[in-house]
Amino acid sequence: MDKKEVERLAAMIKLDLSEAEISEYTKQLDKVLEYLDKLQAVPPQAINYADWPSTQGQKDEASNSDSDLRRALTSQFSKETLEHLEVPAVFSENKEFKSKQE
Amino acid sequence: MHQYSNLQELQANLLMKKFSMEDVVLAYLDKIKTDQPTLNDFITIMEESALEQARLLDEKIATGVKLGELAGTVLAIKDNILVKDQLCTAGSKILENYIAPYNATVIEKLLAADAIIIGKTNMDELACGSSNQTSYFGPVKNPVNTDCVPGGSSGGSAAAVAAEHCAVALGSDTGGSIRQPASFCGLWGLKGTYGAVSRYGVTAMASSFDQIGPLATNPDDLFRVFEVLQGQDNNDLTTLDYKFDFKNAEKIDIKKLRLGIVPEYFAKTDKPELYQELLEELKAAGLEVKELTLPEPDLALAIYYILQPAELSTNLARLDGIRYGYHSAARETLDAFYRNNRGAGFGPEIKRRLILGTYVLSAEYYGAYYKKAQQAREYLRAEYRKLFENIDLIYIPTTLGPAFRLDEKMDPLQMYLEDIFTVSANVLGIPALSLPLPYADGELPRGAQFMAAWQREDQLQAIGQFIYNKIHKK
Repeated sequence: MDKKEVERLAAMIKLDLSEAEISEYTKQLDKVLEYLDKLQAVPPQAINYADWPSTQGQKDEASNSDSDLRRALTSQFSKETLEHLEVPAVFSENKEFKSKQE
Repeated sequence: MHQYSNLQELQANLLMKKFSMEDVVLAYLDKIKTDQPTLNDFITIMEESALEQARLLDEKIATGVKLGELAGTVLAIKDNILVKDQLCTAGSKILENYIAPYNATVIEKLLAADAIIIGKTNMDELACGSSNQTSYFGPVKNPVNTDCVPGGSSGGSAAAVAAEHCAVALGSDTGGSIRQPASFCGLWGLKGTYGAVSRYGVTAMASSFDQIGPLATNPDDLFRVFEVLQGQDNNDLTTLDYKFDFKNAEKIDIKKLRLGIVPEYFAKTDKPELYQELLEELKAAGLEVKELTLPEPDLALAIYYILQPAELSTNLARLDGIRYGYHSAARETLDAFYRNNRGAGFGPEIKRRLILGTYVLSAEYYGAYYKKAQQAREYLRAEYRKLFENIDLIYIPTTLGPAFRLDEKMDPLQMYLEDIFTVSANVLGIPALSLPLPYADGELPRGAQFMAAWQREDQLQAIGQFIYNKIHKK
């Protein structure tokens, strides 16, 4: 890692660094990256994808939101159909869109 | 200070009205105020609300209302966990004035169990560090020896328990941040299985590693608090559907536990004989001991220091000083405003990790570092899964040595190596317990670490309570 690289990365993540910081981090991170190369110790053939575990988290299922709360909110709107709000269609019924098209 | 050896004893004394909860909280507050100028373990002391909670509990006791499981437990909370209407700085300038708008799930659980929160503890900035020297609010000192660090990043929480400023403290553990400070301060510290405890309301650091857990002076309090914290939460979809039960550990026959050890790891520490002595006690108790060949700990550390900065750089993108947090006065352009806010708001350790995280995620190096580290993480998980078919627990040191002196280790790589024995549990997502090895007055404590298979915190409790009864109660 060199100074230019540190400057480029800092600009990318919108981080102001002084000249002294850029020099210091360049030296320190170069040493850290050298250590991180120990990662290459993993033999590629050691990764058996078939053995990978299935996700242990919660089931990937959608759940309904609180119906009472939803009803209370939607009841405040003038146009309501089956607990949903009715809005003008973007393309076919939207007057602003139509006028622009014309 | 009112003397009691654990929470159960305190609760019995409260019910017998030997003292009031208000007395207990006042005693803790007195001690905090005396020690704070030296130890600097708190960022916020919640005097008013703690006393109010204590008086409410005294009322409940007087009127015979049923008490919660943690009634009487005075807790300190690491300052990256949201407590409604209190500052939540995460030890950073960029959040120095941030007031929490809601309670983290763990706080809701503690309050529902009648626990009392006494304050928010100092920590390494945004939980990045192993010495508590990166905090914007100044370093914390180790109560065992104030020339030394308390460890990190939950150094304030560990110091608070060790200095008797609270009975139990919550920390967060991303690469060892509960266990290493527990080891340095002579305490018990637990990191549960990844997904055991909800992360809702915690300042995200590295989301695939972070876990909240307790630090205490004994295993009884430690696992009673863990029991309350643990459980599935709809606000954190990574939480797991299982329930830890404090009572299950007593059903475990300690003699049937198969213990794996790695003699080379003991040899790497400054006092291998201490770890060996505990091993002999366990052998004498009838545990079957097997010598293991584990993948080099350097590998887990390399994986960690690629994935952690990568996740950190993503999580901290939201800290830009626009909606909340530190605002710079320089506002010529929006871009300059962002850069100044972040440049002045973050400390050196965060900046270093942001650069490193962005580097390993950049298109040029993604394959060589980030992707490779994810694959290596799965490789390690597969290796350990096979290992846990033949053993129940792995016994290794928590750290290479005891607490080091303030300013002794300033090189980042040297500091990262502090985590060498703790990161594996985070990389794998398995539970791990650090417990103190016996030490004499004037000596510095060292921790022994036990790791169990996923969701087997009950086995950690069983071995912990066995060691406590056999060694610590002597």
